[in-house]
Amino acid sequence: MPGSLLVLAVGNELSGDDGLGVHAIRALQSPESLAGLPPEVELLDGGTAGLALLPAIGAARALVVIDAVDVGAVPGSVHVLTGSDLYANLVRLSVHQVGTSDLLAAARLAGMLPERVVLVGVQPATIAAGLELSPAVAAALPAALDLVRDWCHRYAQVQEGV
Amino acid sequence: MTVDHVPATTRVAIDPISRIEGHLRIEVETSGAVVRDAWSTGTMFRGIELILKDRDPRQAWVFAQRVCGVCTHVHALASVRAVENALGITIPPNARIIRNLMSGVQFVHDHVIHFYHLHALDWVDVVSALSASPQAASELCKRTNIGWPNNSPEYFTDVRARLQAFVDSGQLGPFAGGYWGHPAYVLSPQANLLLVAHYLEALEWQRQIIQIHAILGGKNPHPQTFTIGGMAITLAPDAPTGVNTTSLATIGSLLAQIQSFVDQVLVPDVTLLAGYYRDVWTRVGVGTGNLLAYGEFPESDGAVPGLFLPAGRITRMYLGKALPVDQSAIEECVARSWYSYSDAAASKHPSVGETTPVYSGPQAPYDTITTEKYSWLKAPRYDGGVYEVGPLARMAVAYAARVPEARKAIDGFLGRLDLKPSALFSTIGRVAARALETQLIAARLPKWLGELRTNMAAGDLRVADTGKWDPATWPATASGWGPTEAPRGGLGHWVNIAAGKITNYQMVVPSTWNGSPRDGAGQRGPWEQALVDTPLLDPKRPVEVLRTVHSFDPCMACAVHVHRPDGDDSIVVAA
Repeated sequence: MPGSLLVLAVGNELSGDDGLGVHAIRALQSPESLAGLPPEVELLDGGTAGLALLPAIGAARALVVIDAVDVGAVPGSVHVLTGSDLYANLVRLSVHQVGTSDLLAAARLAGMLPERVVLVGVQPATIAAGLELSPAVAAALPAALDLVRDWCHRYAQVQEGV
Repeated sequence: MTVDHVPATTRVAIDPISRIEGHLRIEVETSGAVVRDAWSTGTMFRGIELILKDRDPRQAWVFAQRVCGVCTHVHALASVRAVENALGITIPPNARIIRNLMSGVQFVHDHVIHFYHLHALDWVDVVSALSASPQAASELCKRTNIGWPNNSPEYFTDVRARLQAFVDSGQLGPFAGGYWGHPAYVLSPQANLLLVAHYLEALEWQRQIIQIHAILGGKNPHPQTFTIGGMAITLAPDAPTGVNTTSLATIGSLLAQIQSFVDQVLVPDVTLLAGYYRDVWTRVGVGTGNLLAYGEFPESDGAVPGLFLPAGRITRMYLGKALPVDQSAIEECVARSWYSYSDAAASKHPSVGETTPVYSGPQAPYDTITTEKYSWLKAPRYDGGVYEVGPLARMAVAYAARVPEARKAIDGFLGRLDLKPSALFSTIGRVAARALETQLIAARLPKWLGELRTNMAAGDLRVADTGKWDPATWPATASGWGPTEAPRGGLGHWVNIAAGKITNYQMVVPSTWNGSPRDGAGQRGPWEQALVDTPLLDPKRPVEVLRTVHSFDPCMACAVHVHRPDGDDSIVVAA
């Protein structure tokens, strides 16, 4: 089957909790973490590149996005959006405008969006300038990473036809 | 005499205006269906300068490139140039060429994305495209996009069906904020369909282009191959990775694809659009008439290299001569910005710049900002004057400096639309300058690639001068500046170094020039000036205001970081 299983991190590491995705990708890239992921997983630190990330999305068979999302919930709460939930909420979820919402919509319009897409998001506490995550979001990072790993395995199984 | 109707003055806030990452707020005051005054506000403080303080200057570019997700390469370039300038390092020719290739590709990529995906919907009515005849679109495409293969009625039938399915899904994504049916949209249905088709083709096209950055940058979207003194990339005909014979051939074929899309799709499309909008929009959005370019694409080595797009200034719309640029004449004023300078000065040169936030605006939520200080953007000025930066500035300076390629492209465009050079100072002029610049750079890229190939064939494989890598070789204190051109306009980084650490770092980014607020003398910033006299038929649907602001390609992620969670264009109308 063509295409990768792409884990795409979106966000700006200079802006506090908006850097969630970048922190997450770094954690996933450690050798121990890589060993626990299906081998076909590709990790991409997308930063805030917006539409420039379309080629990577178009080449993917399944997509796991990790991002800071403002859903008006408690800071540090973890949210998983997929299927119709994702599209219903896609309008303006991300704290950066092209970061996730317009990007996925443009991919869908262009016929490049993989059939399987999930967004793992964490509600930010602060996106003020700074390289560190807030305590609430830093504490939520392990749970978000577990969810990313779960979805990677789920999508890998779909590929194997299990 | 009795006055039976006094037109009310209406203040409209558009927040945020940018379709791309970032946060900008424009307030305009209108009466009689015309914008009378405008205020540009960056609503988020950017703290990158504070983050860089006390760091190793050799690592500054790694952080600097994160300041704008879309302009990663240019911030890295400005940063390494600033440090190289401070330490007196000259990079080898191959590093210069590779940097040119990376920048040039980024310009072309960014400009195409900007036109089709961030700006076209201000001019193109998606709903009208649904009513177009595919036959008429096909005939238009054959006349407009000469030589471009996707021009059959069947092709446009298919595009229309895809668009219909997308609209029927009710999840409009990038089309959600449009003011469809607004009388300011004047393209024919077939022209709308043609441009929607190319909107989709451009999404596909960019997949190819980004491969060049992956080869030269090592990684996309954040290049990893910069280093102080040159590039950290392997260069050898038979190298297993990096720049080798195979990757040179790949880049060459990608550059050919770039050029055919730009020549056959982008430039004809912009010309088509400009023809429809010519009568109003070559007279609206004039702006300051002062233009500034640092210049870019060094084509020779040494302290003062020749630049493909020269440095220069235009003042008062006079295109007869490009005036010189002296960076010591640049100051940033904070009289109307939420900062304070320690000695109460109103303006400072970036080399002694300070980033001390002092917010004195209204507490959210608010409808209007009427405080004396009203923006997180400082106001950069050159010799006290207000200057616009960007493609219009670069093209106008190149035109005035009599760069033959620029003269030919600009005169050709003006001739086709029967316009005078002064028409460049307009909203459409900015759109056209961006497309023509794309064409010039797309045509230049193969030349640079050829020079790299020639150097490699002659055995010159040097990519970096690392003689001053060790801080022990540095002076106790040093200061420098790194000028470059970002797609959006002139970008400068200033760095001061002491005992091997950064003691001060300042960036003056394109959107700070263009989106600056008023200064101590009360002069409006470029966006603010350009908006005055813009028609505005319906304050609740201010597509005309968006046209002019988007023609500058605002990127507030550069100027101010993203803040607002809900990105909807909220339009607050207050009497």
